[in-house]
Amino acid sequence: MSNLKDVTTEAFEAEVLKSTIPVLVDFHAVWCGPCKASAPALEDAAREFEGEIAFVKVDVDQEPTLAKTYDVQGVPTFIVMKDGQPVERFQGLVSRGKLAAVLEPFAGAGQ
Amino acid sequence: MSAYRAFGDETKRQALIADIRDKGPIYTAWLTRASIEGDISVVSEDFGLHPALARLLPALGAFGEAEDALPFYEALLDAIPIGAETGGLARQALLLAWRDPLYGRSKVVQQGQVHDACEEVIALVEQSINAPVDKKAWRAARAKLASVGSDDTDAEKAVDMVMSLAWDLEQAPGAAHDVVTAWSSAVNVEADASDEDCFSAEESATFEAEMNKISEEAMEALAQKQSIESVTVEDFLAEVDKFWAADPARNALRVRSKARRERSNAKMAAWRAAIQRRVIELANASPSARTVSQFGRSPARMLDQPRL
Repeated sequence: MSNLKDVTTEAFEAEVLKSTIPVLVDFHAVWCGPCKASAPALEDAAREFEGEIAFVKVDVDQEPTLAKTYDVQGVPTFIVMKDGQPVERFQGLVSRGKLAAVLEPFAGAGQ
Repeated sequence: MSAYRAFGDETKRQALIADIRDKGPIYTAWLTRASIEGDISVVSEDFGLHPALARLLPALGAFGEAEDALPFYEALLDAIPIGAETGGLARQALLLAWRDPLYGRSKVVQQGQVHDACEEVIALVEQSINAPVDKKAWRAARAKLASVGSDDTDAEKAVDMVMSLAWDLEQAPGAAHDVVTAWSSAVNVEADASDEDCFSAEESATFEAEMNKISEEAMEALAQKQSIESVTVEDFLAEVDKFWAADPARNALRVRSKARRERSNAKMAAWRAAIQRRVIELANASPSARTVSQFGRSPARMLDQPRL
């Protein structure tokens, strides 16, 4: 079962903005190759940081308002949200190394 | 460690080799780029290769795109003892990315805090060859490496690669693929940068602009002759060639670019060949056979014994 939860505009506030832990938001599209290629790394990271960082997905075609709000110009775009605010942002095919480098400072004792 | 044991019997090994040989470079779902996003657990379930080794092989063989990939796959699979635990081999192969005297990234990270933090990760990878490493140890090593960071671009790429090394391959075998991809990318950048005929920044910008312009012009020309849906890649490339050839001034840049790409590809092929050779040597050096014994199971054939 996937550790990445799909969120809608309606659920975004509860799942992301009011989250008590940092959240990595993956803005993706079903037609996007790099998004699919990034998925296994995201699943591994979600398992690795379970309970410390939440992972959610936003389909930019289904949720254009969210994509516009966060100025998503291309997919995949990843935004780390903490206390309701974007604190880190990166784009493109992602590796486990990149995820570790970005997320470790927000996880566990690093928060 | 893992429950995966290579092949099970000689018939299975030969079946896998024959399968790869028959399907050639287009081995859908495994030895191609599809392996990045696809579920290749069937390779481990059916043939007993550790998932990290299964993830490593497509990248080492240039995703089936290199002509030299097939002999590598055959030689490697042939060198792995039946019944061997191949997670150790995958880890040893990955250590080359840091330690290889010619291509390892250790040499591009200056001695100091960053290098030391990388070495701590490498020590864990080495430790994990023989015994499981606690998740906390991986996390601590990663956190330390993330905290020291690097301002140097080359070192930063190496650190990214080491960050991919800092994962437990029992839990995240796909990290093996990330390591080789990051390594290959760094070697490629070096190959381009050391070329005898590097483009200046201005030439690069001009070439890119001309390339985009010609692509548009070629597409427009094709659209006047046939429907867009019927345009094949071959049609497009042939049309693009005509546009380049029609303008000797801008074609000169393209000729230089193609020559550079060929030289760069040759350097990448040399890297790949060297690493493939080292991985086969590692398989032949029998650490897998030792690991099997450690876990109380006898392989059907040890590496130093004749094949039945």
